[in-house]
Amino acid sequence: MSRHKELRDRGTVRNVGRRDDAPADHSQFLRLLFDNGPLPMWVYDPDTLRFLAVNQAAVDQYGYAREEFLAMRVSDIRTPDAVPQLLADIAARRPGLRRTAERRHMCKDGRVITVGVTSQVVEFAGRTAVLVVAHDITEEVNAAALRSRLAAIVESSDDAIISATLDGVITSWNAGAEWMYGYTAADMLGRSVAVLAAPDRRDEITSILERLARGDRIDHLETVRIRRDGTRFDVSLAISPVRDRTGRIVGVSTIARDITARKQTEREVHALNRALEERVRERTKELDAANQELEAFTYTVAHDLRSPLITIDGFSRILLEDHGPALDEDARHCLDQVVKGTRHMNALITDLLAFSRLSRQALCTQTVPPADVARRVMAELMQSAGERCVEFRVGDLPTCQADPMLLEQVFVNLLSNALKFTRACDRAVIEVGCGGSDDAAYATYFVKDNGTGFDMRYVDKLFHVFQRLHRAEEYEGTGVGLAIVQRIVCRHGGTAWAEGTPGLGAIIFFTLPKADGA
Amino acid sequence: MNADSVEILLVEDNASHAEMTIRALRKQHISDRIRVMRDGAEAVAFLFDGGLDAQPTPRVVMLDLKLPKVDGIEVLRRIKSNPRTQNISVVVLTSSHNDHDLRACYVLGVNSYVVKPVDFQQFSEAVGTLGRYWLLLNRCPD
Repeated sequence: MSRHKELRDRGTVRNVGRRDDAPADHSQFLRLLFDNGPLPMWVYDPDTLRFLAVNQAAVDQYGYAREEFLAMRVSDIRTPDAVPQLLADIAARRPGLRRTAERRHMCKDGRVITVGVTSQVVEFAGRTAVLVVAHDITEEVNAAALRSRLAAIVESSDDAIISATLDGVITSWNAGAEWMYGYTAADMLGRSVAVLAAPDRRDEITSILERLARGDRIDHLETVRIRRDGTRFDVSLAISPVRDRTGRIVGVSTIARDITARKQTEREVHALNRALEERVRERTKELDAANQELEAFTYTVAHDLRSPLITIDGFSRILLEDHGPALDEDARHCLDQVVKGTRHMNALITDLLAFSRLSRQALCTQTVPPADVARRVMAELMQSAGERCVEFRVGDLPTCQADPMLLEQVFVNLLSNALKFTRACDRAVIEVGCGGSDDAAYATYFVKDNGTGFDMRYVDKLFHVFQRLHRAEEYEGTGVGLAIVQRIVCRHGGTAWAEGTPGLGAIIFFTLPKADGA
Repeated sequence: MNADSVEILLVEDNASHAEMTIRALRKQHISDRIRVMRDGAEAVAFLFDGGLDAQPTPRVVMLDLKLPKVDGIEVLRRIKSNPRTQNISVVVLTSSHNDHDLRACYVLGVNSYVVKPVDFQQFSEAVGTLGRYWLLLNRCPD
């Protein structure tokens, strides 16, 4: 079929409403224009919505072959939600009406594009049809949307966002900048950024621009800027180079954040810290002075209270030894009481000094096996215990991290108490064990006896200095032993407590830090 | 008893303690050539200010530390820093134990440091032991 015949069969596009008798070559010219035009074009039947003709540009744009198009309706290239609009447009058609609109079309691969369409009612192959020219404007629309989104972000930011040329002339100025610096965009466009720098920091701007021109970015530069009213404020700047399409650096963009409040807080925190340190130093000095005073005091107490005791004991003994025969039984008894009182007083002073020394003495901790310490202490105590029937049990104890001298003192005090309070038992049972708590860092140990025990009502008194639950003639002692145990345990970060039942015995618990890997 | 014949110089401000010490020394027949100084200044004067004629060098000084005027540590320092007196055995007899004092005394060259026992029996034994050791057993260069 000749080209001419094909065109004639498929009809020619003719503008409806214009009564002209254009010659056949004019029609051919129009047909060439239609087929080869760079914009997608098609003709459809407004009654059936069927495509009557499509050009090559439409085939390229939408991805359907010409045959596919001619089997489709125009509604097929619309997104489903846009079909009612299409039908309304068609219903409103009038001869000669030409309309231009922005529409969303769907390509064969599902891609949705935005097109500007111009449609016009025409006569085609002897009947009324619609000619559509569609121009893909997707990229322009997207770019415009992106631009307006970015502009909205820039405008709504609290940060001052400013752009400038490489020589520092301001080219954009957002609302944040107006609010921060006090100048409007009209004030600042075309002026130099140098007006924003504090007078003593003008050089900084020059060096920043030089660095940016080399392609550097500057993040979090903290500096000082100046407002229109002359007040200075602290800012944190992020500055990046702006490049044109060829990658050449043509300007800078600066985001400035007002950090005056943060800087002020930092200064306050700093000042508070300094004040606090100063106060700690003062208090430490006071504490040192108080400690020195206390040391001097205990020394004095120890020396001056002991001195008269030496005299009292000395002369009582001299009296008994040198003049014994001249004294009767009652006089000797009285002197014995004086000597006893002296000894007790001396024990009190010794224990009190030991107790007060505990707070000042430095801890020298190491890994210690408490079971060994307990056995050694018990062996020593038994040597001076006389003929006693004592069953002594030591459990499998975990090692602890403690000062060995002080741990020994703990066992001396606890085991001598246990021996003392089981004195009346036919068969004393003293047990050193562990358990009662599953703390990961601390081990719980106990010393248990079957002696006189105590009433739990008085348990609070047990660990206080000079507090005793027994009369002096029943059980000798100064009432410092358990207080020393508690002080030692406390200094290791542990705790001590007691349980007891009158007549059945007592159990003293204490915790100490476990040795590493114990 | 003249200054030269003093064997034991007892520097003790507590008269009762001095008397007890003297009784213990006499009772155990260690010495009765004892001279008591009641404070540190008196002891220093006795040892150093008698002029060329009297330069007493007792064999033992029993020295309390807490003394009026010049304290025991100063007396010890004077004795041990003078070539004439540095060989005199100095025994510190103090009422209480104090680590600081103990270290200071040893730095100065004390010969012995003893805390007075409160129990008189122990006190008496301690004084007797010290007297016997430093007067009868110990030998010093002349």
